[in-house]
Amino acid sequence: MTDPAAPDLLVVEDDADVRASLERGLRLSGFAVRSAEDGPGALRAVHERVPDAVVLDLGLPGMDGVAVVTALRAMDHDVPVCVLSARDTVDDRVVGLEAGADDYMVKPFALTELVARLRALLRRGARPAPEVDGPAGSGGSSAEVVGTGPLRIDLARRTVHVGERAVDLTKREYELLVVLARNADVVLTRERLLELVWGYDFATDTNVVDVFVGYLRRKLEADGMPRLVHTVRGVGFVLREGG
Amino acid sequence: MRRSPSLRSRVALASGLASLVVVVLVGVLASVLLTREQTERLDRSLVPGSPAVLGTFASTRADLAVTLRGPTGTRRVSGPELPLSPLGIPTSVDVGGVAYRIRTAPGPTPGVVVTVGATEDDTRARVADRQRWVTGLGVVAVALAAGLGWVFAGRAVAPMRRLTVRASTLDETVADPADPPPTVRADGSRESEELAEALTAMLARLHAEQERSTASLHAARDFAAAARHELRTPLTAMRTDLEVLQAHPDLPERVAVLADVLRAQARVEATLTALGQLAAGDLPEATDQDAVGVADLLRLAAEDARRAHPALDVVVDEPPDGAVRGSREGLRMALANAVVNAVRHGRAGSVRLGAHAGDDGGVVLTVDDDGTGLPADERDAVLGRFVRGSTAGAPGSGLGLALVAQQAARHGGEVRLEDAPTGGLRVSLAIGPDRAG
Repeated sequence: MTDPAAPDLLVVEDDADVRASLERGLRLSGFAVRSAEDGPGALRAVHERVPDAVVLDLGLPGMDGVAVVTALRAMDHDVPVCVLSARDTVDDRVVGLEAGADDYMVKPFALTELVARLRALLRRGARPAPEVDGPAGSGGSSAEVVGTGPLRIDLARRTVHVGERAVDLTKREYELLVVLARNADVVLTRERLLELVWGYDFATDTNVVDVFVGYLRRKLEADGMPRLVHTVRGVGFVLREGG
Repeated sequence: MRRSPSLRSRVALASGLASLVVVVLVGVLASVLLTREQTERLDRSLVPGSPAVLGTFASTRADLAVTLRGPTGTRRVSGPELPLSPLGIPTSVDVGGVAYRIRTAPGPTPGVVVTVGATEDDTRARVADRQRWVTGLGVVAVALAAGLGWVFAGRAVAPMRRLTVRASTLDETVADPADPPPTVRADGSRESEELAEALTAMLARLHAEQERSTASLHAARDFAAAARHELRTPLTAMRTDLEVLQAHPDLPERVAVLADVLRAQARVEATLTALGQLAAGDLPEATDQDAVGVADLLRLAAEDARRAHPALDVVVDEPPDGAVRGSREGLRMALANAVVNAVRHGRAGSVRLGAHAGDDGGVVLTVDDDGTGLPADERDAVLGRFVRGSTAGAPGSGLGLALVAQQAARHGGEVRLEDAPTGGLRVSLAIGPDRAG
């Protein structure tokens, strides 16, 4: 019954019950599902055939989920990765995403929510870069370079500089920053950012935007640069120079 | 808060009081001696024949009174008439309201006695004058002693001051509980050193207490986190399965999915039960003192095992006679968990329950299986809570062998995992010698 066009999904989960349930649930939701029970198994499966997206448990024995994400990104695989965490401490959320995962869900989660997010991430992943509508940045007509103040994003080379310093960003961080820069001085709500950066055009309960804004700030302000990504309380976020 | 006087003032006060006592004693003694000396001097001046008296009885000194008594009667030579006093003994008398010192001696002619007297006013005035001096000096001495006491006490109490400063800054130095306990030093006097030692000992006790409570707090937090984690995993599977059933009411695999839901539900239940047993096992109980027959216990455990695992072949060795003191239910539960472990993770087809006397005089209960065993390097780890072995078969809570270990510890013994003669794993639950018999 597997549709040849069904997206190829890799589920990495050490608990046999959860793995079986997820395999079945995702298969019935229209994905072609492969599974692995540990980190090396996951990397072998990716080596065999690169999946369209990965659902990855963080708490794997031995090589954990963070190591798997790190290895995937180091091998230049930029497939969407949604990590699953059984812990609700902020640290765990932070590590998986910081290593390059795109989103996280805390167990137990709703299967329908996981499916919706995976579909959105797959749609987004099919496009080369987020060509987001919005007012052009300060780069003029070419729009090859956008930025505000000391921030310069070269869209063609996908590089980011703050002043003279090159900033290394994960794919999702880069896409969030581009959306904020293209809409410089415009306040974007969390819902709008979820839609523009993650493709989540449905109501979803997540603080993933806040987490990624936190990463961006840390990287952009690393050498004492003034804040560029500002929180507008009760509304959302805006990229602008000065307060 | 109303403060007591400082140690320094107390030392000053003490030295002032001490010198006051000395000054008063010396003053009183000096006053007595002075009075006596002045009186003796006065008495000497009353001896007839002394230059003051001789010559004529008509006194040349206005302050001398002379009275002659002879056969012819009494004659006043000068001054008021003095009473007769015993011969040769100076005596104090009152003459017309004036205090006189008088002395009677034989006169110049036989049968005549002379009584010579002088007022004591001058003498008393001189004595009073000297007493005032002594008093004044005494006051100065006391003030000086108190003042010097204050000055020297400042140096003497310096170690205590240093100790105070050191002790009051301790709060800042013990910010990190991982640091070794701080020590207080205040050399310079035995009292301050003893006090410092007492403080150091107290701090060490507090520190140890704090470390214990911090450790148990961490353990409780880790335990709660692990318990949440353990429950979330089967709940995730359950929720996914239930959503599948909801979204696909006519699913052909419906029965299989339902079986999975039930299995996940059983996992949640088993984890909750084990958590409850662990929590209860951490508490001392009155039933810990039951006399439990070893043969009875093995028979009960075998019945439990046959009931819970109908396919399992359960053998009970001929157990030794004897009994142990402890919790019947606790030991029974421990053996049941060892059997579950053999079946679930060792995939055992048979188990053998036995008991023998331990080397240390205790009793060792054994559960042998013919399953897959457990690598030797994992045997300690799996006794921990929420730890599963790498050969673990079906999903489990990771609490089974931890429960066995807990019961062993509760009975003064320990759990050892060894190779069983039957090929699989042997779980040895040792019961301490003080519990045997």
